[in-house]
Amino acid sequence: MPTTLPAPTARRPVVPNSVLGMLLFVVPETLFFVGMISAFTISKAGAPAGSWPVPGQPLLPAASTAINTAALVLSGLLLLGAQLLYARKSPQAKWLVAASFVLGVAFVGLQGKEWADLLSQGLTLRSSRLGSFFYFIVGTHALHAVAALFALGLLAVQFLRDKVDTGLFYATQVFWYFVVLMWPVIYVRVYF
Amino acid sequence: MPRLLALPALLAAAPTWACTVCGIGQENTEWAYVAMTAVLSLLPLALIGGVAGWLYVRARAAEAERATAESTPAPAGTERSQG
Repeated sequence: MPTTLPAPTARRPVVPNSVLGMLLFVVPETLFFVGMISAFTISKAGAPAGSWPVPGQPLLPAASTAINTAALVLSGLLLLGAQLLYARKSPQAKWLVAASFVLGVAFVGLQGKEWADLLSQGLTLRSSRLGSFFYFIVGTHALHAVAALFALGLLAVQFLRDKVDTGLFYATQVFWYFVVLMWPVIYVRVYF
Repeated sequence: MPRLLALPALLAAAPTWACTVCGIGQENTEWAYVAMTAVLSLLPLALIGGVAGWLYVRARAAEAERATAESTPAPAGTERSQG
């Protein structure tokens, strides 16, 4: 006797594919950064007495970098605020996304200026272990920040045109939060 | 037998280290190795567990939402779509 199977029901993904993909990217990247920070911590701890901070090399500008850090953290908070407004379908969300992008650009710009200053003072990739670790860790973070800024910029344009790709919005949030949250860890471990 | 007699000598031996920088003997170095080993061992588990746990919670919430929608009678004159 033939039986009639129930019609298949459409299944909604539990998490947008873009978010899942970005998470699969962000988790190993987090471990990559932690591995670098681990190597730096052990190298610094093993430095003979009097050799760290490195004599003859400039100190890292922890105070001025605090401003960059604040800008980046504020950028992340603004994106979070944009998410809350977007969920309420508020048109104000676009301004928060745009402000988040601008603060992100400011962070990368200030970091670039800091690099130029340190290079002019003699801290280079090959001048000391501190220089090698500093440029490698901070430079890798800057690469991630620039890549995330491309996505954030595209998202800001979409918001301003009122044609938001929700998948891009969520994935960009994951990427940007990763950049934002990783930075204070780098700042505390490397600059002090 | 002579080998067994040599065993007590192990008690008097100084610790050896697998690499040249491990055994400098500085407390800072030892602390850094232990702390970083703990971080690098536990963090991957925490991250993977966190993502898996979050997906599980999302799936449970979606399932509950679907069950609620199916148990709620559709308003008169309307027909619920499949999914």
